Amino acid sequence: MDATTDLQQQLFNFIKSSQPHISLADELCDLLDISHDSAYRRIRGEKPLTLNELKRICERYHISLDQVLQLQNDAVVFHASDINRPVFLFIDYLKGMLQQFKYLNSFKERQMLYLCKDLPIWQFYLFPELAIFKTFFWIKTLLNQPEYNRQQFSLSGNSLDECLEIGRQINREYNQLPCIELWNKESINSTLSQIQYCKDADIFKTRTDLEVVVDSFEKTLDHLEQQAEKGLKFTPGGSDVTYRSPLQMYINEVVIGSNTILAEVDETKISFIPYNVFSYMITRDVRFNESTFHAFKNLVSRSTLISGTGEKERNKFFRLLKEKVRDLKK
Amino acid sequence: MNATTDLQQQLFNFIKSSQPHISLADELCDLLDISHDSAYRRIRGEKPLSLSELKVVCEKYNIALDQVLQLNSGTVVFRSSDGSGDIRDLKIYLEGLLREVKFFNGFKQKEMLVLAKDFAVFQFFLVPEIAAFKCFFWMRHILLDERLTRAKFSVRSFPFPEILELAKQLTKEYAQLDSVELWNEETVRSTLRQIRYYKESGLFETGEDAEIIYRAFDELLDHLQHMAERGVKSMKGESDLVKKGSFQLFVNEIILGNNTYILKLDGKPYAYINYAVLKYLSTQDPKFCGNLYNSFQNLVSRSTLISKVGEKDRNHFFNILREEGMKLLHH
Repeated sequence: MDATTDLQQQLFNFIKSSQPHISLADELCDLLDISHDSAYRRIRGEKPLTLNELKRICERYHISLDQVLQLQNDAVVFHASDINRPVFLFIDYLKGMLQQFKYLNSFKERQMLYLCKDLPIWQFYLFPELAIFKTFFWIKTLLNQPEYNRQQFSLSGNSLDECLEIGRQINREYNQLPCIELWNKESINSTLSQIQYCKDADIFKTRTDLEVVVDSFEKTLDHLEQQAEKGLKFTPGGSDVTYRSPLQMYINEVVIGSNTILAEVDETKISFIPYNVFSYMITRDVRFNESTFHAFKNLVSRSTLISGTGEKERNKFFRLLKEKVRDLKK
Repeated sequence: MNATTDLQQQLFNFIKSSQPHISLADELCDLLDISHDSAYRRIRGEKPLSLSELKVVCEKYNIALDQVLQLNSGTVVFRSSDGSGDIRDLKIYLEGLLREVKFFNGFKQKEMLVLAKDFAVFQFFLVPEIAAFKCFFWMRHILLDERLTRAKFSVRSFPFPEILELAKQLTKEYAQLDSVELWNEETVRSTLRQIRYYKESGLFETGEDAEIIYRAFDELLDHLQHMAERGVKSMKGESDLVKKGSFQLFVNEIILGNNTYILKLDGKPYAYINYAVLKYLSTQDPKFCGNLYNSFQNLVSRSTLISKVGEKDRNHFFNILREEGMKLLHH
């Protein structure tokens, strides 16, 4: 067997293992417009694939050719599925994130590392008022949906229930996932600035709308503080009986975070690198992940643990954040 | 001609255009151990390349195949600033960055769009004391350079003159590029935190060093404000008459930046994404760059221009940055 058939067989084996429920030969017949016999000859590696066929196969099964060929260039291949969306709907984004969490939770050994720039997105969905505000703000200013153009913000009469529900589900999944989070005092600043922006630009319909959102933000911080105190994650008002995964929360004063998420499931490392505000690009590139994990651990070693311990620092940290939130009412 | 030969021809055309000085047929003979005739048949697309040949060809010419074939698979190929290693030496890192910026400046039209989380490396380097401080910080705390494991920072005896020389060259190159930058109040914060961290951890050699760095940071703000006033980049202490790139500065209140850079070089976009503090990933993927470009434009449309125009907002903004400095350093 020469190296050609080797690589080609490897490719088809990879497809079969990632899509165990399909009949590969049948699909190839359709995809490449060839006979069953020809399909089998390609799968067995007897007949080489042309570049054109390769391209179709890679696109059909979302495979990177660089990965298939294990090219030794200095490239790192990422999945960035959001770039193929003709229209970016926020609900689809949330659903994608829920899928990712479910995937991570399907492993027995799992851990997530989070380098916060902002609060993790799903934590805005702990309490409905803040959730509605953040969702409204993102859709209006970042996704530019035209129907939001002239719309003011009001808690009543919005149609964001589905987003809220998915957000809650993400939180439930997140609570099953052991985490190390690196926070800093800046981690709430973008939300502070967004609320201030809406206040200045008269986007809140009434004063009450503003106040309710600010209160909800404070409640969120209270909840995060309780989680840090216990070193466990849980749903507000949730029962003690459900599994609560451990949370290690650190304050980092060395750099401002980036919202990078790293995950380790069984023996595999995955990096989620944020781009374009919301979107994440994902890679399992071994060398790349070594360097992101190394950088994270380096930051942890220079940070202060405030979960389960460090009461003084924890109180100071959350008091400072909550003061800033309350100032929004002034 | 069917589509197959098309793609294979595309691949060889790509190689020819990126390596115009080579004889492709000769090289293929050696590389794939085939006759001249077979090489030509492959180049003309008459004979398909096998997967293993493809692999050999791509590795030889350092080709990211997904990109050349414009694979529509939801994957994007990036190059890392680490190359194929793990760079722990700031000098090598800065040399890489310098090559990159020189590459930008090799184009006739060159524009850099910046969604800043911090000041750009080039901007820190405008003031030599800040350059020394930031380099020391990165080397000691981020790249874990063993030469500095227990070292304290002193402005007067920064031990790596070659790094400061590179820093100077980087600012010169940066000054030639036109740039559009989105900043917010957070943009100064991480450096201020680092200065404070040094003060609190006793990492300044003397009390005077802290004072010098603090004053130098103010100087940096003054200089950046001066650039914003004129809407043109400049080097400290150099005449304003030397031709420099334009500097459009916006204040963005919508989100915190993330140190994303989009380069438009003769109309073609390139994206640079920051990760792991200092490193970056770059790509020319048209879809990815297009996405980034659109969301950058959206943020620009919601931001306030404070270069050349908008004096009141500009003064207000820079004063807030100075106040941040006062607050963080003196309390």
